[in-house]
Amino acid sequence: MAWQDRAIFCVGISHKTASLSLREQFHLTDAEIAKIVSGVSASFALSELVILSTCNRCELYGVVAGECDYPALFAAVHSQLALPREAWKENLYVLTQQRAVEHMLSVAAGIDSSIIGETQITGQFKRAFALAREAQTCGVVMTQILQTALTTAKKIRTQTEIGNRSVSISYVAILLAKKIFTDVAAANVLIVGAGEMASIAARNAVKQGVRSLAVINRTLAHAEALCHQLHGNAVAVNLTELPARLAWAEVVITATTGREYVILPAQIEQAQRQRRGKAMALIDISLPRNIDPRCQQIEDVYLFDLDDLRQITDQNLNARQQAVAQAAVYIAQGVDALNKNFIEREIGMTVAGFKSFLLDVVRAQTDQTLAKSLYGTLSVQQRDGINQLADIIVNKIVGQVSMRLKDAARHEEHVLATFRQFYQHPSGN
Amino acid sequence: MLNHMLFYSSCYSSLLLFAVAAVLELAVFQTTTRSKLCQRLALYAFIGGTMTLSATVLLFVPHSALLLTAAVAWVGVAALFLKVRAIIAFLAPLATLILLLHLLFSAGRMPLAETNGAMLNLHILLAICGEAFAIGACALAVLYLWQRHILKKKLLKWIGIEMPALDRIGYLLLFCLWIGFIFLTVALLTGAVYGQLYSQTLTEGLRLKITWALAVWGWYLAILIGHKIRTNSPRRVARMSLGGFLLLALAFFGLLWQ
Repeated sequence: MAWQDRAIFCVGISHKTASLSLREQFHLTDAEIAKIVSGVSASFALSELVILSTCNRCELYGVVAGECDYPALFAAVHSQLALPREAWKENLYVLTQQRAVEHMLSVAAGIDSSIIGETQITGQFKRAFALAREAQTCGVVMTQILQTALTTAKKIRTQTEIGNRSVSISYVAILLAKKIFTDVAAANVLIVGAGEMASIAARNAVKQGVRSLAVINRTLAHAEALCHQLHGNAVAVNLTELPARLAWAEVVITATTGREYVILPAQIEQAQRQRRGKAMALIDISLPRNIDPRCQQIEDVYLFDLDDLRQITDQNLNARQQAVAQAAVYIAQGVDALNKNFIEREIGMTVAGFKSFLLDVVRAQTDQTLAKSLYGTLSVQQRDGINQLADIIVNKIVGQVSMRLKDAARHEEHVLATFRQFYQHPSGN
Repeated sequence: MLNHMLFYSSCYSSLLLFAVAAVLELAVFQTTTRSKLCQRLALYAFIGGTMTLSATVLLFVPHSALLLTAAVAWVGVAALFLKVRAIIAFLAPLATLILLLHLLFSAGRMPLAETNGAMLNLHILLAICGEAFAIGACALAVLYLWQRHILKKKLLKWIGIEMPALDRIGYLLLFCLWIGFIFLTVALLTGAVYGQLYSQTLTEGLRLKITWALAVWGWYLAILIGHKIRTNSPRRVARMSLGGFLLLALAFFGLLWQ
């Protein structure tokens, strides 16, 4: 795959080739990318350049005419880096032409991510291209690749299992609650703890539309701080109110760092008596566990711990990995479509160049001939007629040639390059 | 003769469609990656069977077994609108079984309306509606107990199966029980009025039928009272609904073909 004899490339490091400590040194902010992208592109004579920097990868996508020293290009983008090139050269990968495009499509669809099928990368991919467009380093080729990548990513998410299975613990917790309550948003949700996991669970609950959320913690100030982060979508409660809140809650998510059980069967039994036996989901995402496992034996109480959630996320991850093979088919289709598109465009440009070349030759020749005294008696109308005849002949020749050229170029890519050598191409290539 | 042929061809078409729906539903029920094509085909077959059977009941003189199958199928169609699609996996085989038994054992029996008066036909229709809702409740009870078993025993590989939430199944189970109970009550009342009006003598068969019907009615009353007053757990309600269905099935098969 090539574009007007230029190579499409991808150079970078990712979670597959470099450790986190190395990757974080190559991380670039949006502001840094915006600052350097056009300068680097110009100094390496690149036709196009896009820089993607996420926590999992730092990759440069571009189009170059002729040869390019890719490690030097990568080093130029990270010129502020104190590390010698030898320290990371082994971790660098360079992909060109079709492999580069396949990789870009895989990245955009989340196939190449550390958590297969994650969706955040598509947004980051789009953002990288938007930055390049602002810096005017994103041209026809990269725009086409972006469009194909987004279409392919959407197809993969909707047509395969990749998008259907969540691998996030807090999301699976809500999914389990949905197996018990049709409308989790209308359920009373109690979060026990105010640490990082509790914060993620609370945010996810708010994201799922939960309207009645309470955060309970030994230190009330921490619970209040978490509620503040949730923009008032939750109420902070002191741990002393736990029995009353257990009777109130339909879904309880525990995520404290305590070493002892916070919730015991006796408390749940008491709560269930007050709730007149309504169903209750207990989800323990803490380690060590916060809920006594015996609570599972109580009627209408459904307890899930971290192991259960992990089992589901592992199942989902396996399903996602199995779906990668299906995704590869869509990626191959995307690459194929892109390739056809490039060939069509290239044929169009080659034919236009050939026509322009012929018109130049014919017009120069006609002007030269008509300037001779022999044709001095011809009227303006007669001269126009001759010029029109020349144009018609050129169009006929171009029509015949382009048809055959299209047929040949669809099977043999090099035909176009060979054909361009037969005439003086206006662009100089 | 033509009517006879049309009647049986539509009966067998419904049987075939319900059977196809049952096989497809049962084939994909326990798989987490349920084939969308299979699901869709099962759905179309079930709806097709319901429509064909309903048309048969409306166009030709209805038999009680046909009416019951049609009523059960309509409970299934109603459940589809309430997003409890999984119920079809239970109702399609049941509809197939009732229809098959009817075609095997009661072909040639006189249809209801030709022999009975309007009052008795109303009584039978109400009883059939009650039974259809009781069958629906039984299917929901099985769904409830299955879903509960998955969650309680942590059969996490089946967590991904598209099943309605427990609370929805529980709510619909009680709804079916209430509606079925109301139909059964009114059916018993119309039966009593019919008996008074036409001062029918109580034969041994009729006596047995009344006793059995009262037992079924009492059982369902006990379920509803147990839930309303003693706040019986949904699991107990589901188990008792299965018991109620068993009583009904014994009554139906025992008395219909006596």
